[in-house]
Parts: sequence; structure tokens; C-alpha cells
Amino acid sequence: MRMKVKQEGDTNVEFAPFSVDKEIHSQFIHQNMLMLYKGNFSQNTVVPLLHMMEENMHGMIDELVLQKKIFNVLVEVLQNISKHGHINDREQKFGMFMIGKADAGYFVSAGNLIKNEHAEKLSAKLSALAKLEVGELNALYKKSLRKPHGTKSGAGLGLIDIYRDSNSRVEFDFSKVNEQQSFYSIAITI
Amino acid sequence: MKKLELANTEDTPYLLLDKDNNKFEISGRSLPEDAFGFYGAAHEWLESYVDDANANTELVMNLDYFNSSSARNIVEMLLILEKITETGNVIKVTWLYKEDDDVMKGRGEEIQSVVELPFEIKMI
Repeated sequence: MRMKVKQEGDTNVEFAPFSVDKEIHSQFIHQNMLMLYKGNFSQNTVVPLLHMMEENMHGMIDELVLQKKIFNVLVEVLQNISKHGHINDREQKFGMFMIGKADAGYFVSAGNLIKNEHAEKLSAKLSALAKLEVGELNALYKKSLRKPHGTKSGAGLGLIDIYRDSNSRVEFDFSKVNEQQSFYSIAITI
Repeated sequence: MKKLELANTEDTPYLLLDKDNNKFEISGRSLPEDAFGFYGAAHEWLESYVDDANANTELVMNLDYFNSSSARNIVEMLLILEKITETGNVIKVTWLYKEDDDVMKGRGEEIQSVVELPFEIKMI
């Protein structure tokens, strides 16, 4: 369940460059969509979203471990947008995220614009992580833990966490939007 | 040394580093976007502390959630505390987790495995 960029020829890239495509729309109707948010991503918006989801989850999910894993994936996904999302002319980091429940588990999907140079690096990191077994992910996580804050570590700790918590059920996609930006989307099942 | 005490907020934990009363604690939840902004002050405080630590230091950690940015900063703090083991003074970390919270228990074990100081994981 991915997010897609609006059709080619849409020049209004800075503001709401992506729309809910048909696939997502039907999921929204037929499956259990818990939250859909489209807008600016900063720590100020992320924290209230997390609170809302947490409240929701207490009521819906019995297992504490599952609640915590979903919460962790949400934090890492949303904070990645808030940290690395491309800033538009209005000083905003525009992005979109949704969370819902499908037969396979809970899913978290997110999409945002990023600079093309960043897209390449990110794509490489994600592809590398996708090849690792749980044991290797854990080893990589521990190795990265000891690196001081601010180091350019291999894969971000957050990304490794996302792979671990979802048992690597992660799909990602990059679509070039123009010469400067790409649209990056990620879909995670927990 | 003046104590460092930070009240908990929506996205940062309660933090207490108090040499005079020999109390060191971090509790609550930690999810600042850039955790160094929060933990930096603690790193600095600890760098001074380790040179003249109390005879017996126990850092009690009672977190119910921490994000990846926090994880790295917490480990960095513990790496500073490791220096106490070289001085003849005693340092110990007590990691608390609530019953049923296998996630925090597991994360405690993980952090325990990457640092080299006495580290006890206890259920409360």
C-alpha cells in the first residue's frame, strides 16, 4: 500500500504534491484505517499524532509488545520525515502518513519529498538492510549504538529498528519528481 | 558539583544527576527528535563527575520508551560512566522494566551487551 505522486505535469510540486490514489482509497473504505495525516511534519506535529495513536492502541491492542513495536515504528518513521524531509518554500516539510490494520498485521505507510542526492543514499541503505537476517540486523544495531551522536553511521539506527520490529516486512519506492526532488514512500507491516 | 535535574516533558524523560545526595536517575520516556539537544548537558556533567566520582554510584534507569536518537545518547552516557571503573570507585547501572514489558527488558539487555560496566536488569 504505497503512496503515489500526482500525475505527471502537475507543476504544483511544493504544495500537496501527492494525492491519495485509488488503491489507498479503496483500502480506506474496505479495511481498518486508523489514521491518515497529510501536512507538515515537525516534532510539534509528530508528538500529538503519536499521543493520539497511543491512546487508540491501548484500546485496541491487548499485547503490550505489539503496541510498543507499532509505536516505535511510528516514532522512527515520523521523525525521519521531520528530520530529513525536504523543506518547501513555506518552511514546511510536507509529508503524508497512514496507519491501519490489515489481515497481515498493522501497516504504517508514509511518503515525503526528499532531495535527489539523499534519495540515492537512502535507497542504497534500505536495499542493504532488506538483505539482512534478524541476527545481522541486531549485530548492526549494536555496532551503530556505540557510535557517538552525529556520526554518519551506515544505516540510521531508526531504519534498522524499523526492519527489526517488522521482521523486515518493509517496502519502499522512490519516484523522481523533478531535477531536485524525489518522492519517497515506505510501507511497513507489523 | 551543582546537581542537574530536568523535569520530564512530553518527549523527554526526568533526569537527575545529583552528586551530593548520590542520586542518579533517568525515568519516563525519551523521544526528542535530536536527543543530543537533551542529553548533551548530561554528557558534560558526567565528564566532570567521573574524575571525582562518589565512592559508589548507581544510575537507575526506568524508561518506558526511547527512540533511536535517545538510544545512542544513552549509550554515550554509559560510555562516559565506564571511566569510573578505571578509578577504583564503584559504578553500577540498574535498568528497571515493568512486568510484561519484554520490549524494555530486551532493550536493556541489548544496551548491557554493548557497554562494559556492572549492569543489572530488574523487573518492577
